Amino acid sequence: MSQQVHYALSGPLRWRNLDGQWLVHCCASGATMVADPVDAALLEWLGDGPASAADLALRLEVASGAQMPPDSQQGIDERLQAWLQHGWVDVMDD
Amino acid sequence: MPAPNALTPNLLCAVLMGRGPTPDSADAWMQLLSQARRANLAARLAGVVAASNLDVPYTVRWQLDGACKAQQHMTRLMRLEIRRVVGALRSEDLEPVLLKGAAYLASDLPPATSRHFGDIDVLVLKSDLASAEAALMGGGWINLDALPYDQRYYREWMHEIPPLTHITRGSVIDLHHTIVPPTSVLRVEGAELLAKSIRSEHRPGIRILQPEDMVLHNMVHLFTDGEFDNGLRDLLDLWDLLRHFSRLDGHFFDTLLARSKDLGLSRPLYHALHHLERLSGPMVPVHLAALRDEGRPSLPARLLMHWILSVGLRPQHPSCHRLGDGLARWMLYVRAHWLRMPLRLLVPHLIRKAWLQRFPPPASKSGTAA
Amino acid sequence: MTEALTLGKLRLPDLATLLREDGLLLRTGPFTFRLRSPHAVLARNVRQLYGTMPVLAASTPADFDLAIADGAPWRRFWRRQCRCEFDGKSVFEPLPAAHAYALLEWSMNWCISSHAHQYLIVHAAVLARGDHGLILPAPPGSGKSTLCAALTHHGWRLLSDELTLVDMQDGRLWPLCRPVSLKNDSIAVIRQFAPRAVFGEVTHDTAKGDVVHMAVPEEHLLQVQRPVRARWVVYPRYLAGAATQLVARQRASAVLDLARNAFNFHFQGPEGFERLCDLVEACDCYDFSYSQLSEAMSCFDVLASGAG
Repeated sequence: MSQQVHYALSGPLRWRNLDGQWLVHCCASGATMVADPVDAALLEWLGDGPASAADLALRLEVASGAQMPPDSQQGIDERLQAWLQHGWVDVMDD
Repeated sequence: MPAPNALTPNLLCAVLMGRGPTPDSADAWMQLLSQARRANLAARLAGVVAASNLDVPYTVRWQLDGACKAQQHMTRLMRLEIRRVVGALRSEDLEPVLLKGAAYLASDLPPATSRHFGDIDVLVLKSDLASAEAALMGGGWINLDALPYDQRYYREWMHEIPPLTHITRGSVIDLHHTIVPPTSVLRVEGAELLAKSIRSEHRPGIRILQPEDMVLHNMVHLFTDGEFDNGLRDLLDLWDLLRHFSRLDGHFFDTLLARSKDLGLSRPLYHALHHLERLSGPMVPVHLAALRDEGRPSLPARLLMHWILSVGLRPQHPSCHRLGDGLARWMLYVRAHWLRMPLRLLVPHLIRKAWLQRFPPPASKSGTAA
Repeated sequence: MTEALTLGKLRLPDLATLLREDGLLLRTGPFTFRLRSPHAVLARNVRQLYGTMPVLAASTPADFDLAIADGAPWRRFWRRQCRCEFDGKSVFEPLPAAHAYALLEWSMNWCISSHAHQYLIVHAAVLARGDHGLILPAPPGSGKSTLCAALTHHGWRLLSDELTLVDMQDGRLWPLCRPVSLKNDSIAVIRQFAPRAVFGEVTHDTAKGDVVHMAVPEEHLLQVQRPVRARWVVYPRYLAGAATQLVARQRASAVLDLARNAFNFHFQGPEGFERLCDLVEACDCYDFSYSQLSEAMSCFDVLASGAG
């Protein structure tokens, strides 16, 4: 299952906060985006080391202190897939 | 543009090889920069200027800095693309061998430092071509050549896969199963090259050709290519590779010449070394001169090849243009196709190409901004 | 010689000869161009629109050698063409010879945006009041050029109508001061709004319709070496019948938009991101809709007076 795939950041990130919104820039690919709180958390955790969608869903549950909806892992996986296309993350070799 | 001084057509090469003389006026420097840009060597010129601490006018300096920024961006993108290509092919359990620019970058070889990158060239076994193409298409690289003629050209006549372009990112992959055009008189088994391929020291997941095969591939390309937009760039890559490998291994030239004989590539080797040494000074050890000359063609062929390749290896810039260059380039083009295509296909192909150049189809991309 | 020779004082045949042979040297902001062209329409418009520029010595070093040359030789006498030549090769598809001056302006913009990576170059108009810079990014059809031309004649100093040059070293905006291009209906509007404005010849039937260029007032050219700091980023939109309205806009989205509209954002690497964030952080960002030019001018006056 694709949720077992491990992702890692493709390079260092730069963060800036403007009016309470986080802008993040990927040094490896030049991609830039406005990160919502979930994006910001996921990217920060990926900065700790490679992780799968399942790992990240678990961390999100622990951090939020609440039960996550059943499709949250899938939502995270979709986000990771999109980030893969734009060069934010790479797939790690197993 | 009219030359303020009579810059020799080979001045750019001389400056890039450190064999000077360097231009002596702002206009002459600007013209050299213009030549370098045309030859995709602006970033390389910037590197040479910095390393040798050359005194250049401000008008040239800021443009060299700009060329470096552009090149760094290209390198960043190229690194990402290489990772993605390898990742896509691994999904079919394929371990491809990278060639040329991608290989230099993946293994941190000297040519990669300030090189202008183009397509990503990848070598797989002939039997793996279909699954490689399928894997790449799954990763978003598709064949943009809609015309059936172009499909037939590549697949049926040339026994190659057409270039694959990524649908969103625009990167281009050339899939190969050997280092010579499959239909040419030169015959090299891809399997033999793959068997001797090695893992890149810097990126263990990536394979590259062994040093002598990498050099021979460069030489074959010089010998068989028809379009010389990157001729000088590729020659300078060759110069970098030969100096690098012979520094690491004192017997490198012996290994290289033996391998070229085994693979039947003595002719391309002869021509490549002839022109390289014409521009760089002697490189081949004296005791190997006889072996190198085994690839030498008869005198008439030698004279003709000397002329047309000399033209091909100059920047395609008005200041480098000499009478007869147009004819020489046309001959290079025809010769390259003659080496690849049976005659019965060559003539109609050339006619068709000339027609399309004169009357391009409405959605043509010729002449769009660089 | 007591007075410096300017382009406008050259006789047209002499200027045309210069363009045909050794080349005309033209300094626009930080860049010196050496221009060559055999096309008469180009010579006439250059003389009209760059008339107050000094004639530079032939030995002046040029940053860019640009030719607006003839097209295919067999078209020389029937449906003559012009084409942009740089580094010895054609940059764009050839155009009808009547478009030679318009092609010159587009080509000069191309030279700068393709090579001048010491600047982060955003596709936006930029003007100044005092030391405060106003950036107007906008897609074609938004009325940016009309607004820019009007502001130029309403107390705002023109830096550029197309290319905003952000110095990568310190974030300041540098002027180019080149003629403003206007299209179709805007032409009549600005002729009426600014009766003293100087215009070139109208080029008909371009890809964008009718195009004309408006000269930069001489007092602006005198300040071409004075950069400014960005103070406002305003996204204009012309809407027939709309009320004049300035609405505050999120800065973060402005950063993304400016990055998307920059020619060379990716060449700048992470420093480009930081530079753009610094710029926007020091600016107020707005969306602006209007239909009445005079009301729009008043609105910008109010904006400027609030700068302090």
